[in-house]
Amino acid sequence: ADVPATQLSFVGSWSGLSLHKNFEKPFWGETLTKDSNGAVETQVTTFDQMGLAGAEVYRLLSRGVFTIGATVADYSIEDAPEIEGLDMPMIAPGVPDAKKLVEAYRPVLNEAFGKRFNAEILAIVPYPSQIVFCNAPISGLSDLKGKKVRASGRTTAEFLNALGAEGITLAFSEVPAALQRKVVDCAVTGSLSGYSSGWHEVSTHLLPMPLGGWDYVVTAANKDKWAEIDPLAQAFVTRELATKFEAPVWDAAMGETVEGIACLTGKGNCGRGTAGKMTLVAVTDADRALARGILTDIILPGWAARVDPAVVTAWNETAGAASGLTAVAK
Amino acid sequence: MLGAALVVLLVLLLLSVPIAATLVALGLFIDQSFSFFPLYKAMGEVFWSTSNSFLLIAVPLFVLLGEILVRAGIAGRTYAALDKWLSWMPGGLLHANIGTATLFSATSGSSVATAATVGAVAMPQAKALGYDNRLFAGAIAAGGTLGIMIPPSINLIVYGFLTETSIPRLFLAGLIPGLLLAALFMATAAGACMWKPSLGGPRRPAGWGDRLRVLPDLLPVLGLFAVIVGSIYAGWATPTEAAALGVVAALGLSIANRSFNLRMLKAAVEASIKTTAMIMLIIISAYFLNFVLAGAGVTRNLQALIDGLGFGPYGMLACIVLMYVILGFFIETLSLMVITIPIVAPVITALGFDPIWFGVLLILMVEMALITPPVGLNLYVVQGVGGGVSLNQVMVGALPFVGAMLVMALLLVLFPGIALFLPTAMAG
Amino acid sequence: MTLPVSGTAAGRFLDRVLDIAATISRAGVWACGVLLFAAVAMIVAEIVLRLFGSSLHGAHELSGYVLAIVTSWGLAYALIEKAHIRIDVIYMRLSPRLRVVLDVVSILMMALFVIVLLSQVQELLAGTLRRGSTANTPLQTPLWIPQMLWMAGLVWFAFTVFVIAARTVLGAVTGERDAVARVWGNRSLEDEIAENDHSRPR
Ligand code: NA
Ligand code: NA
Repeated sequence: ADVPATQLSFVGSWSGLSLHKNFEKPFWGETLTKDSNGAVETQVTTFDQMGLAGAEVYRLLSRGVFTIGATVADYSIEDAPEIEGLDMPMIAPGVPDAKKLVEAYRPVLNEAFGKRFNAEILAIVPYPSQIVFCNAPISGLSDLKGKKVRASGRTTAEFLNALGAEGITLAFSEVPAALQRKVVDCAVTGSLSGYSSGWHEVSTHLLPMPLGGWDYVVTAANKDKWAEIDPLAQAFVTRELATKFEAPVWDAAMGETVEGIACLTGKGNCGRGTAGKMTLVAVTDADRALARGILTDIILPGWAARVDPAVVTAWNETAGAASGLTAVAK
Repeated sequence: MLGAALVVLLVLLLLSVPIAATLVALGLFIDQSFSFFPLYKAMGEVFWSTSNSFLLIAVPLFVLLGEILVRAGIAGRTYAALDKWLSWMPGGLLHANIGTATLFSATSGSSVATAATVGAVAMPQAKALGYDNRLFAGAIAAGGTLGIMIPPSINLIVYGFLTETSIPRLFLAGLIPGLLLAALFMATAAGACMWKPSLGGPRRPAGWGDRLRVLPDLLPVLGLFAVIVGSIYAGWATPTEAAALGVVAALGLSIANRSFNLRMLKAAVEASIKTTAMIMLIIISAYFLNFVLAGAGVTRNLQALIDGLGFGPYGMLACIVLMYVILGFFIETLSLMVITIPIVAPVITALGFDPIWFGVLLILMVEMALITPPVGLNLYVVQGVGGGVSLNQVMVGALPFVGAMLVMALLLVLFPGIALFLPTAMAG
Repeated sequence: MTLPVSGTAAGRFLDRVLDIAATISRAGVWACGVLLFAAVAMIVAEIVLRLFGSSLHGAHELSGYVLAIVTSWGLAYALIEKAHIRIDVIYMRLSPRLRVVLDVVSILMMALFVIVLLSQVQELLAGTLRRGSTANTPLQTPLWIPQMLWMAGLVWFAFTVFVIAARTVLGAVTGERDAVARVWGNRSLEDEIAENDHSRPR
């Protein structure tokens, strides 16, 4: 059946990052309109172009300021602690683990979005994994002890504290200079965004562990506005999102992490310019065990104490089962 | 739609509606007339998230720092010392005005604060020594604009904030252009007074003995510069944090100067919170307008318009400069930056220009906007400090310096190294 | 000192309210000054501690709240001191009678502005309370606390705008041009007022 004429406004994530440039913008700006033979008309902008910091997106969505919005879910933890259950340091070391966890936890999160933001989740995609750049020699995770690490987010800060490192808050744009002058020793970001921001020029060692998690971007729609849309159009948009947005982004997350590491270290293929010469630190079993221990002993119990017991139960049945972990309030 | 928006903006401004209320009213107008969505509902969010941004705390701190320096008598002594060093040139005290402004620019992040600081100590001299009001006041207004070019600079922080550009590198990039512009200002003043001596006042030659004797009076300001900028490059503090160090250092100077007391502190606090509230309300309102412009698609239309012009890089650059000159007549500077940067910066980067270099060029345009009528904050400030000068006289007196700024813009485009030399050298 | 001779009882009442508002605003500014110095102290402590590899958790976060509160509580003082900038290109060329018209228009725009602002800020606070939002930081600050303090400043600002609006409109209606110029006339008039305003003890 033909898709009925529909108008959508979409507010996307960081305009300068590849998720928006390579996926959100083409999908919302072109693909939907083309595949519906012009029936779906869209208006696309991003929260940073609107002068927002990112944490306001779902709150504005809840008030119907726009139909569909996407932002880094971690930014909204202050309004919905359930989001923390999606993304914790080192909970999903690889893309397949992450995908499994997200699929399992999505219904729980969707309910939370409904309750807190009057919103319905349409898609969950990752940024490339958030790994560690240091301007100091390290040989593993435990060497972060005593180092000053720039990181954002509460659970990452807790994780660093447990390691004996000092979590430092800094604006993203201040990081390269801070690394160079050793205001901080280490900082966490995606491998490719680190490369494109020139972090390899101001740091020496790269630890490819997702210490900052995956920084998921959740796309959600205002429930009332979504309900006003014809069911046929709803089904069309949902189907397109799953096949032409979510799937390719997940595939790229893997590729980008690998390519980013190649560009930063000069080992492997870098098609984006001159590769850096960073030392790639091998991740050992001891590192993984250390991280797992902090996660189960400190992060998860702390989170379980912060959220509703019903959410903890739901988490254990879904995300917990998918990652082999159990959260118990301390 | 753009035309209607521009008309509403101009009408409200000319009706003397306060700038912040004008920007918000324009936002509400665009929302009601052109937006499919109730964008006004975002006002609370936008106001809160802009109000509690850590980067912007540099605004009250730099203003406070300047207020303390004036009230501690440090500004006055610096001016007197520079008088001995610079006033032998044609134009006399005009050069002390520009020199003092340059020196205070190195401690202040705000052009308005710089102009207010220098104006407070210099303006009384104009009448006392028989100088022509116009060029005298114009030199202070123009010299004051250097406050945002020479580091530290609130506007460069805002630029770095909006474009995700390194703020310390921006600061390095502003230093040489700032000093060069100061030299151009002095040349302009000297040139004007050689052509028509009545525009200035008596030259004030001083002996080397005098000059050496007053040299220590320059130390407080230089020390302050060392604390603020030094702490940034030593890796101790971020540019925002350095403003707090500057306040502590200024307090220390006022105590050393024996001018510290509770009454002086109260007056400094009152003045700086007044200025802060005024500036912040304009910044916040501009953010809301920017949100509406993006949400209603104006930003996108404008960007498409710019992209569609199809000029080459330098043709585009000329258009953008022209746009800033024109908008700069009417729009307050921080709002000008907040409104235009999200539109212009991506275009500029796509054309292959360096974002750090463009930051400096943009600051130059913003400096110009500060001294062009009808909306020119520095003109108001200089008129406001008193000394019996009318707004009209300040405007006329500032005009020659607008010419100097245009020359500077040309130099920046022809020799990008003026801005990029230091950041490149220091990074290497 | 003499009491105002011109003006109605309502006008005198509003003048009195404005005097009190000015006093309270000034006290608010001093409190803001204390907050500002507290932020300075926190930031400097953070810098020093970081040199020793430690950190004062929350210095940046709390300074952000300080900025918001200082701004909102400073607004009323700035209003009373006529620090909010108004373009005077046309204003200064007009007759006193027409200036009063512009004064009325511009203060009513200010009143509209604060009404919209307050209604939206109230929605923001309601959402924060409903969701029990806390900052995504180690401090986990319940956001209603800083937002409430911030909003209180805005409420005070709105109140001051309304009083000045009432005085301006009243003055315009009863023809007390000096009174209008005193409470809301453009700053550039200040010198003229000082010479000509006899409606008010200074
Ligand atoms: Na400066
Ligand atoms: Na201007």
